[in-house]
Amino acid sequence: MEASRLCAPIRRNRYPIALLLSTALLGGCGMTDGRRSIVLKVAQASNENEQRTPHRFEAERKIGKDFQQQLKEMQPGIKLHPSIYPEESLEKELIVQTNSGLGPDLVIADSNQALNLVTLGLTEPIQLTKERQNLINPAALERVKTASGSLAGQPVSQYLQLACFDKRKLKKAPTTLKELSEASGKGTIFGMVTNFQDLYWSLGSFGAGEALATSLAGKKATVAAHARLTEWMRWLKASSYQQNIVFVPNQATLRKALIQGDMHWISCWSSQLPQLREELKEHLGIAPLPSGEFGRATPITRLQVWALGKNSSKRQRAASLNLLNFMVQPWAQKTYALKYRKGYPVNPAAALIVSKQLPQGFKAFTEDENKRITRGDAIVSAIDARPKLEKEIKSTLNQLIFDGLSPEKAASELETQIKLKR
Amino acid sequence: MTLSMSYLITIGPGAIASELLSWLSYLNRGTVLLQLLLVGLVMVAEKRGALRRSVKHRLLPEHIRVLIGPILLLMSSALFLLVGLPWGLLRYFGLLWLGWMLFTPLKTLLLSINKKFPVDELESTFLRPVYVIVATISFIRLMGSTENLAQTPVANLFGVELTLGRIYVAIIAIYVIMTLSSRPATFLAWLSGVLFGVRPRNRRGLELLFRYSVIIIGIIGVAYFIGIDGTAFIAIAGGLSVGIGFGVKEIISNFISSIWLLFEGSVRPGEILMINGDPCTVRKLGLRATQLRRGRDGAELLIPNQNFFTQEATSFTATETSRRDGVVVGAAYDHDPDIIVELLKTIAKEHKKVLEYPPVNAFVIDFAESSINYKVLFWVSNPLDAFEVGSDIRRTIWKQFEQKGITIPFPQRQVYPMEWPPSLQQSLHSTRGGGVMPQGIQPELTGSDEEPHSKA
Repeated sequence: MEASRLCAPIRRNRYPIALLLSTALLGGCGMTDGRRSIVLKVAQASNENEQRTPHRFEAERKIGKDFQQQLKEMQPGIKLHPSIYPEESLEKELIVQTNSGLGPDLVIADSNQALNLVTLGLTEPIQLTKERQNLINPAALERVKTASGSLAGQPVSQYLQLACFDKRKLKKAPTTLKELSEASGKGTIFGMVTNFQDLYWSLGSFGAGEALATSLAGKKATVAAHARLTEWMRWLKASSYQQNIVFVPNQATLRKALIQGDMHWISCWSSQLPQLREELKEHLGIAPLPSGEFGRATPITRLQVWALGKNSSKRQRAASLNLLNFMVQPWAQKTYALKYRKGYPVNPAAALIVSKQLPQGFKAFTEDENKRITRGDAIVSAIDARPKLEKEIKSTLNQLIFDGLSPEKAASELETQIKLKR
Repeated sequence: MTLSMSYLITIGPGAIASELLSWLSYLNRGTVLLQLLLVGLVMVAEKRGALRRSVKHRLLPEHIRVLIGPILLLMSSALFLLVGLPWGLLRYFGLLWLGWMLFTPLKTLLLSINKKFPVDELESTFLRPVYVIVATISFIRLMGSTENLAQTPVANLFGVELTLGRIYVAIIAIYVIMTLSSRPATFLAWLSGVLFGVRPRNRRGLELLFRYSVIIIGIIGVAYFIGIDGTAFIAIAGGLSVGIGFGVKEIISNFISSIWLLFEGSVRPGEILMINGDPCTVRKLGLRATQLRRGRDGAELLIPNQNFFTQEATSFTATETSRRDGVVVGAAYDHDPDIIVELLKTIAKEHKKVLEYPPVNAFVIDFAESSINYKVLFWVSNPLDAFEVGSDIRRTIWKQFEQKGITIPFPQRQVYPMEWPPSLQQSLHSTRGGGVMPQGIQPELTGSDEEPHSKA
């Protein structure tokens, strides 16, 4: 009788009690994950231009899984749980999740997107100590600096634009555009993407970047700079007339063509090398992009930036910062760069160690190179941030390559577009 | 973690478990806990009626009062937004709840527009499932990446990797096919009726056949979608043949029987069959069992299809629907059998449900102990009417016999006590009566098992 009287309030409030108990229990599980390790949710952006395949993200997921295993050994207290999103929809997804308090602890994006996310209040600016800043290449840090001087995230790696070729079809990759043209005349099939970002490397070979940089600054390009831009346009037009230089709309199509043997040489990104290696194995050749008469190619880089999510608890934030610190240490930088061979370290000390062991294409990527390509990155990030401008430029390039737009007209149009939309 | 089921099928639930466990990490966050607790409290309060009781009945009708809980959550989310706290979970649960509760007012509205609108069917087969799908996807999207979970491989079926997304889509597709297959099937059956003059009764069987075809084609399509190709189908068929041999023999047997019966046309919806002496109408020929309605008491019978396939069944509608039934009646020996026979024929003929052809007939069937027995046989167009017509004819026979002074004899029994052993006087008395008992009067013993004298 007494017992039943004591139990009555419990019975009456069984739903709230059950709710509290289950929340506490689940909370406990979530916190410790059974082995006192903390789970960090990671949102990773993937470039849709490179992923238009039925099994998109498959390669990234595989690498992610492998990385999780590797990390478990070095950081047993941290368990990563990555979710991959197309670059275009990352922002939208983060808004929904962050507003609910369910935002990721870490966001992996490129420098432009990281800057955008911090402006939108979807990630927290990061404070790096002087020691930590010394571990990172200053040029890379500059690229993630916001207008207020804070950092949108921590650069961890950088992806380069390279030339990928099939060694069975092509003994040696062309080092100049002239060699490229000659090889195409002899039956080697070359593939490029009609995207401005993916074609930007060839601007350097003509010295055409200056005209665009001037336009971006709102000024009128000099006659010489304009002439060099027109020259680049002429080269594009002439290439499109060649039977063995093929232009396709995205990187995924290009990669597929190389794997299937329909193309022998393509412009590629180091981030996609694992997929190509898996398919072509030892036949995959990597080389720097060809230079022109004016100068060397100016491939742009994509910086991999790790940013802090907005909703993390104190413990999750501490673990995230701990991980960020670990990721820029020379050991991690060297180990992961050599293991996956797809990105270049941002830690100068590690870069020095790995540059000799990385494939041919990476070798050319030195410190000087990093400074040299900054102009290209500025132009490309300005275009990236303006989808309408990006669409207009793509349309101009398409008209030049596939339709009857003259190089002279296309050069003027491009300058005007960049100047107006700056 | 991979749990090996057999060498052909492997199931790996580890990836899903890891994804679901990762969701628990959100519970580390105070703001998430706060939102969840608030949702829990409001739901518990609503469940215990605290919210509804707090609002006067007269002020708001019931279907508005059920919206108090979700509206409270939405208001809290607005408050959280104002104070700068994460608010999305409160809004999500509020909207989810509100949407669910809005079904009732929506149904009322639809019914007020058109009373014949199949609201319940629409709700259970379309609205609620769509709602559940949308809610699940939006919840997963909130917790992480739908694509992440969709691409999680959970099983390997004959070398085909099945991801969670594909399985989810396949389940939805199969549900949609199952639910909506009746529409094109009905249309095709109707079309065949219009074009080829198929009778309405046969159309129902045809409709079922079309429906099965749509389902089978749909399931094959779904299988191809998830990547099960011809080779895998052969492997599945091989596996199934073993399965059929052991476990699912009955199910397959019933299914095949249903297809066969449909082709044969012997058991179609609308047919009338005699089950244990009772006429029953076939309502539905299902995949496993046939649903019948017993005319006598309206009971729904579910009989496995293979019963019809392997056992005999009496049908009144296989080739034609009319049924012959009869009424047996006795008349006293005083009356001329010719008159009785004619009278019986007339009575039966006059009933409006008795067919003119084949004609009514009446027969003398027995010289029984107390009566001459007659049987009048008649045909009815609907077998289910036979019982009712028989009753009508019996009533008319009684009335007509009463009018015409024809008696229906029946055995009468007198019961009187008897001494045992009988005294001499009593024995003599009964012997003096000739030892013959009047017709219909038989002595009955009380308190003894022995035979009476008269029979001895």
